[in-house]
Amino acid sequence: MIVERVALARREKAASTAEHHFIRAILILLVIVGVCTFVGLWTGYEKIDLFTLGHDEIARSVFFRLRLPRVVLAGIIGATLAAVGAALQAIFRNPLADPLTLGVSGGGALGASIVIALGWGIRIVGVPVVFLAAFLGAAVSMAIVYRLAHSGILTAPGSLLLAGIVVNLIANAAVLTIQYTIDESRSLQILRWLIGTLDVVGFSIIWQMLLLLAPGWIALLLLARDLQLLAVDEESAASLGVNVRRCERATYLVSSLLVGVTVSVGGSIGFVGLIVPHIARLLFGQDVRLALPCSLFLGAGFLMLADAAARSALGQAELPVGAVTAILGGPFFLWLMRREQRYAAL
Amino acid sequence: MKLVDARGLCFEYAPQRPTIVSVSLEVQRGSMAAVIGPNGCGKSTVIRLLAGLLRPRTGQVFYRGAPLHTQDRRKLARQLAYVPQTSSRAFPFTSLEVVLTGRTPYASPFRLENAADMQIAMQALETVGMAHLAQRRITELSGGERQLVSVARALAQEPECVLLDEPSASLDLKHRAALIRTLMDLRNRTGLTAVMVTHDLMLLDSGFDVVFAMRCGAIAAGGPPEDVLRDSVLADVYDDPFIRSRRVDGHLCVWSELHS
Repeated sequence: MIVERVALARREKAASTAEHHFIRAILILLVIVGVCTFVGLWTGYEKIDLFTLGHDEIARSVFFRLRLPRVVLAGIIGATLAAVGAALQAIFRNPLADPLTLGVSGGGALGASIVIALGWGIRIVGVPVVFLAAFLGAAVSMAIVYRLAHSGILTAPGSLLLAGIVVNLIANAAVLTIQYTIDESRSLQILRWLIGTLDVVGFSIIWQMLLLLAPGWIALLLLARDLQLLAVDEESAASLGVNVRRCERATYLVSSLLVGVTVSVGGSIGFVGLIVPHIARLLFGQDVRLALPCSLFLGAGFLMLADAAARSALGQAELPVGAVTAILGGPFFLWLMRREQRYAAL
Repeated sequence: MKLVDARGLCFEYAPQRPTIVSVSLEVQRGSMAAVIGPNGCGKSTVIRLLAGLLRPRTGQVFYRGAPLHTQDRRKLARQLAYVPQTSSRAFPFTSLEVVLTGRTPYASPFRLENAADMQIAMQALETVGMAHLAQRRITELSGGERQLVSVARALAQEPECVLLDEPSASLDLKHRAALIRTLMDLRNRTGLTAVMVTHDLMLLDSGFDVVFAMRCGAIAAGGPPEDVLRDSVLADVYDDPFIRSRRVDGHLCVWSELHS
């Protein structure tokens, strides 16, 4: 009797630590994000410290109009891409899924570049048309990839990635074609964000983004429980009461929206959605209900650091942040592929 | 009392190529039923229809007297559990994490599993003899061990009826018998109902109450094991005249002659 009670008490403790563990993880992540923000704000061509901030008008302007918005932008784009990556990996049960490898970023980029090429700066009910076009592009390519890869009941992991990569190539080729046929200034505009860059002035674009991104984040967090069951096994999830089709559709739609909005502002920044969820799982375990929110925070920190590196790596000149994440992410992807032996059969 | 009652089920995965043609079957509460038949005859499809994972084109499945598809899926998952033939192993979840997913039909949306859930999950792992592998990653387990984890996940749902799709396919001799023993024991203790797709004809005789033999998407024979597991019936079901069924020391032996 006593032995049983002790065992029960021990188990109770173990269980309650699951939620404590979660809260502790979030606190650690907040600290990490704080440190990354500081590094991001500190780094730059012009060294700005608290003293100059208090006395120098120009420094203050640089800080609040350029540097702070840029760091915040890096944070929200990184958070978004990482959370979408975590969700897509769960729903496709494929650790190599990512907005870039599934062709979603490519589709978004195509949608956005069509609008830029046409020079449409208009808004529909306050939302820039370029957001909507990128969202549509992302959604269409997601639908194509899913249709192509979905044969019968099973989604083969290899065919999924192949379809994604081909859609991405087609979209890139279409963007290049557009770029060569339009005038130079717009062509340069497309080229700049195509590689991924986080140049912003002021906060207005960030508020507009957040209007769409924040509901998307919440939607993904609400889907996390079903995504966890789907990550374990699709048929079992269905038998446990998950409406698989509805969950899939919701995830695609939300992911397309999130990726579309980030792509239309920051360009297609690759590999954040691939690396960050893996780091989150390594640090905090496989459970999607934990890994997804953790990816959100880690993604923010990661892209803020990557952007700081991009801004300082070449001294005065600046690297596109997409190049930094690709240089870090490409080898990581290959390493993962080597580790996941069964994808090597691609 | 009829727990599972399927009437006139028809199903096709692709148009004009029917997989299931008019299957009707009844499973009484607290009984153990087996579905047997040659490869590709539609056994797995029938079990998926019974689990409500597929919707029949015509006909209907009744569970506890109510049509299956009108019932709330999450509430249903507290009564009806399904063990798939194979399960994904894309991510290195631990056995315990997989079994804990069986507790989600009971959990409130924004809570992680509590102490009671944890205990039930451990108990389920113990029942199938897998408690020592609770912290092992499923990617490191053998096929048979993964199947037992799947069964434990179903048991963690605390169902009154469990549908199993060839759970014994990659189990060794000992664990095949052990699995059926476990199901029989649960039936006797808690009144569990089980419907199991299987190729283990020799294990059906003593434990199972009813056997449905399928052929070409229809039920060719159904009834107590001693009526169905006879050479005349089996030869017809499997379309194999070399099948023999004999009783040796009270045990039923079924085999197919290699040399005629």
